[in-house]
Amino acid sequence: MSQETQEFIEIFRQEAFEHLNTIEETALNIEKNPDDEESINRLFRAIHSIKGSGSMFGYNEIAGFAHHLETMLDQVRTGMLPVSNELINLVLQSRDQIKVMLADPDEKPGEHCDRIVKALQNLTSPQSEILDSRSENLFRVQFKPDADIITSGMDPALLLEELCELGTCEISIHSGEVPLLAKLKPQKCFLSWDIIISTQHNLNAIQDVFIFLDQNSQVRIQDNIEVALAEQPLIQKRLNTTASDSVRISSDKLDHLINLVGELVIAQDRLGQSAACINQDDQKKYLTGSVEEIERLTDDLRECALNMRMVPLETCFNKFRRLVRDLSQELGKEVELVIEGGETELDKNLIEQLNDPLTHLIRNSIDHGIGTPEKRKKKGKPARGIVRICAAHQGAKVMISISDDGQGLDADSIRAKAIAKGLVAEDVVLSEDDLFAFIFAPGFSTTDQVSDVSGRGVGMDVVKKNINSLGGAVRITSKKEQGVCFDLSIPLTLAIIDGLLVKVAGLSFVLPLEQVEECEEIKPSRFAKNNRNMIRVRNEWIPFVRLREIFKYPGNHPSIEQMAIVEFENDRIGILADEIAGNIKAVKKPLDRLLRNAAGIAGATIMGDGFVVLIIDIPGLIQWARHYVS
Amino acid sequence: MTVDDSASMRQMVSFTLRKADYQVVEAVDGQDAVNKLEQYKLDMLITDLNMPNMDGIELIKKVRIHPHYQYIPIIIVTTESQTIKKLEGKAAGATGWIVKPFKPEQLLTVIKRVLR
Repeated sequence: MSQETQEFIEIFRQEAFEHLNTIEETALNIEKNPDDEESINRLFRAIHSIKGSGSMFGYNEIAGFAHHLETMLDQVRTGMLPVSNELINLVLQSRDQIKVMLADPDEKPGEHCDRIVKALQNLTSPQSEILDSRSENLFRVQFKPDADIITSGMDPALLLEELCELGTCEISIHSGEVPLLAKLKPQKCFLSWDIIISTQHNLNAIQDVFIFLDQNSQVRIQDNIEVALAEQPLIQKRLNTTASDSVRISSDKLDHLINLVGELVIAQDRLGQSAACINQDDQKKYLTGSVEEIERLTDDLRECALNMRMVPLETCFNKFRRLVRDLSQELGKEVELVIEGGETELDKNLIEQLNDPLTHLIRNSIDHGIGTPEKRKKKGKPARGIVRICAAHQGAKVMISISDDGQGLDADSIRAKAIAKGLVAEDVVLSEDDLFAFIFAPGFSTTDQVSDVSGRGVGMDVVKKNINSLGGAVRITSKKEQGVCFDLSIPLTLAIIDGLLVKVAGLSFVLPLEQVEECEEIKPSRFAKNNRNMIRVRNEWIPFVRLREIFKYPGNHPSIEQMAIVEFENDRIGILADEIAGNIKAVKKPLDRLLRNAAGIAGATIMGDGFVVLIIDIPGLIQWARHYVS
Repeated sequence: MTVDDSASMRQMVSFTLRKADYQVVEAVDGQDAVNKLEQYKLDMLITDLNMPNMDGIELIKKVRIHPHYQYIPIIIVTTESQTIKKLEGKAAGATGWIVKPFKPEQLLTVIKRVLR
C-alpha cells in the first residue's frame, strides 16, 4: 500500500471517528426530541459519509454494515418509520459496532454484527427498495449552447447522451429561436434544452458533463427544488457555523510548537537578564528597547500558541450523554443530563485528563445520588432526576461543577464510617464540610453493597488525586435530600506558568503565582506564642509552613522572613521562605519517572541562567505538611 | 491523430486508444500533423501545445480552417491546469482539454465525452 493511500486512510479514520461522535450526539438528540429534523438529517449524512468513504478506502465490511443502518434511517427521514427507543438503541449499537470494525478492519464481523443487521432489517419496512429510488437526486438542467458550439468540435447531442447515462432524463427542446429555412445556417446551433434528471450521482457529476463548454454557452443546474427549499434554514445555519475556516493539524505538532514556544520564553528570559547585566548606558538603552519588544512578542506568541490547544469542553461533556443514558437505563432510573457552559475552553491535554475523574463523578451521582423513580416520587420529587454539569471561566481557572438533585450525602453515616475506619476519634466534633471531605480518603465508601457501577471505594481518592495533579482542586458541598455538588477548579493550561521565585537556604523554588494571593514580610513578633505554626495576618490567624523545615535544610531561618499566602481548599495558608526573588515565567517540565511522585513537587523548570529549579505543588505540599506535623 | 513531440506521450496515447479499438495516427509536431491532414480522414485530434516547428495553438487554427475538419473534436494536452493556456486553446478552436499527468481511463473518458 502506498504512503499516500495510507495517509488517505488515516484521514478517513479520523473523519469516521468524528462521524461516530456525530451519530451518538444526534441519536441522543433525536431520542429527546423525535421531531428534530436537523438532527435526523445530520445523523443520516454522517452514516452516509461513513458508508461512502468506507467503501472507497477498503472498509467494505463497514460500508456494507452502514448501508443497513442508512436504509433504516432513510425511512425515519421520510417519516415512514417512527423514532422509538428500540430504534435509538439500534443506532447506538450500530455506532459501537462500526467503531469496533474501524479499529480492526481485517477481522470478520462476528455474530454480534449479524444480530444488529437482523434487527435493523426487522425494523426497516420492506418497501425499502422503492424508497431507495426516492433517495435519488433530482436536478433541473437548463442548457443553451453558444450558436457556434459546433465549430469548436462539440456536439450538444453527445452531452445530452452523457446526461442520459447518468440517470433517467426527461428532455424537452426549445426550438423557438430556429430561423426560417432561408436564414438557417446549418453550422449554427439555435436550439436549447430543458432536462429533468433523476440520478444517483451528485451535482459534480452533472457539472462534469458540461466541463468543456464555452463560456458563451449557458448551463444552469438546479438542485431538487423541494429539498433545497426545505433545507434552506438548515443550510444557512451550517454556513454560519462553518464560517471560520479551519485547518486540521495533528496534536503532536501542536505540542511540539508549544514546547518550542516554551523554550523561546526561557531564552527570552535569559536575554532579558543578560541585557540587565550590561553596564554601558548607551548600549543598554538600545538593547533594552528591543528586549522589551521581544518580550512583548514572546508573550503574545505564547498566548497565541496556547490558545490553539484550547478546545471547548463540549467535546468532553457530550460523551457523558451516552454514559448517563446507558447507565440510567441499566439501573432503572430516569436521569436527565443538563450541560451548561460547554463552550468554555480548556487546554486539550487537560480535557483529556479530566475525562476519567468526571466520568467517575457522574457515575457516582447516578448510582448513589439519584434514586429510582418510585423512591423519588415518595419523597415528592419529580421522577426524573437531573445531573447538571456546568463550566465557566473564573480568572485563570475553569470551574466545572457536577451536581445532582439526589439524596445528598449522609453526614451521620460518613461520620460512623470514618470512626469505624479509625480516621477520626469518636469525640471529635467536625463540621459537615470536614466530614464530606472523608469521601476523598483512600478506600472510603458508604454504600453497603458493592455494585457494578461504582461503590468499590476506589475512585473518589483517585478523582481528587487526578484533579490535584492538574493543579486543580475539588470541593464538595451537599444538602440532605437536595443533592451533592462537586466543584472542580482547573487551571487553564499546564504548559507555561507564571511563578513566584522564592529562595530558601540559597536554593530557589517556584511557587505557581496563580495560587499566591499576597506576599508579606514577616517579623518574629507575628508568630503565635504557642509554637503551633500560626501567624497573624491582619485580624486573622492562619497556619503556615516553613519551606526550610519541610525540606529539612540545615541552619536557621533569617530573622525577617518572607511569606506567600496561598489559598487552599477555602483556607489561607502561609508559605515561609528566606527571600522572595521576583516573578518568572516557568515552562513546566515533568520530573524523572523515579521522582515524579515526590510529595509537594509539581515539576521543574530551567531558569534563564540554566539552573534547574523545582516547582512546588502547593496542595501536595500542604497535605504532606499536615501529615508530617501530625 | 495524436500530436506530441515526446515519443513516450505519443506511445501512451496510441497504446491506450488502440486498446480501446480506435485507429491512431501519430504526428511529431504541428507541421507533421498539418502534412498528414490530407493523408488520413481524421475523426479527432489530440495535441500537445508546446512543440517545435509548429505549436499546438497554430495547429488548431490550421485544422479549423481546413474544410474537412471544421467540426471535429480537438483535445489539447496541457501540462498544468493553467486557465490561460486552456482559454488560448479554446479560442483557437479546441473542444476540450486533458491535464498531464493523466491516467489512460481519464483519457478515454474525455474522448467519450466529445466523440461519438
